[in-house]
Amino acid sequence: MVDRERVHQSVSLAAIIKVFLLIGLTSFGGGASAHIHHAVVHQKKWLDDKRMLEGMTLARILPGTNVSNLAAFVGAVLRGYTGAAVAVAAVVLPGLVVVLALAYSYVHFASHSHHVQTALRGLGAGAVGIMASLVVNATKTVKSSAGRLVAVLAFVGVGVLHANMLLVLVVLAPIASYLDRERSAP
Amino acid sequence: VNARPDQVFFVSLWLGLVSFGGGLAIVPEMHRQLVDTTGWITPREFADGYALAQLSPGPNMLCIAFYGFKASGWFAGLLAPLAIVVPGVTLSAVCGRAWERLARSVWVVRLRCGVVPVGLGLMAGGVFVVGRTTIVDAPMLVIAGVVAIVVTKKWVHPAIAVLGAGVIGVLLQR
Repeated sequence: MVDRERVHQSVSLAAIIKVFLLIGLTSFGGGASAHIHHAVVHQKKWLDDKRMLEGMTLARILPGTNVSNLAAFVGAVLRGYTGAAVAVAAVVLPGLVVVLALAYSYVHFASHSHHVQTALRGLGAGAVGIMASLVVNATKTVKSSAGRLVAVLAFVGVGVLHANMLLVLVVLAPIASYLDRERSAP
Repeated sequence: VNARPDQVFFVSLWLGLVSFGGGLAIVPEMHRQLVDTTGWITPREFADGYALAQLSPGPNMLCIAFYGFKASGWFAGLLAPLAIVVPGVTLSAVCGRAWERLARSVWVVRLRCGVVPVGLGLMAGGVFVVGRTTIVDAPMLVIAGVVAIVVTKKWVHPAIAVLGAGVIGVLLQR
């Protein structure tokens, strides 16, 4: 505990910004959580593996994107709320600048070009492919048949019935938690 | 421009508060709010914005900046991502500070067992909602299928695969 606190105090805000800015600039197509894990645990050795995995679980169960949540968790553990704020800003801002630049180009130029529109169709199909692969990977985190049944019900709820997502969550999450209660016992 | 920035802000804040299960899991609710309920964004713009966010670094949920900009201009384009990110990162930072106690809490485990399976279904809903607009013919289905396979198998980097899909899209429709 004492050791860990000493390690934390030696991590500067500039070092946190540097690590998360690099991840924010280079994490294309998802998977940034894995980059954060690698940089923070293996390269910098700021946190141990167990704590990092706990942080990744937390980032997944809280609302928001896994990446920004994980950045906030790591930043907060290392340097409190200031650390959290700089880590989140560094991981989000590069992508935000790019998305806004693309949005501006889209609104002002894309609608006039046939080539851009056909390219966007292909890009869109590719994006759907990436999304499908994220779902395939996520199926590995739900092993019980009860959990998978709940996943199917949630899919039908938001995909087919267009139900309010919060309603789906409030109804199904307690059911999933109850059905998996042996697994969730301490 | 057909929405006020404050309207975009509050919708984004709502999305940020309920976005359990990660960036893809919020897509169906995002579509419901921005396309079906308010009509600020067309289905085509929704699919295009998501594809462009996929091309950009950082979280895919940043597509909300695209939608904010499209619906209401620069100010909304900056407010919307702020509103969607802040609830989750605030909770994460608070939990990061109090984690020694929280990690032992049975509620954390129960929450995970509840949220993770629902999140999986919501993610699949996200693919369905965007796919319905994007996958309009057999070639698009093939492109999506091939990208899904090569990315899942880690043969090709996701950003390269999406770019390749764009190039093939242009070549196909010559």
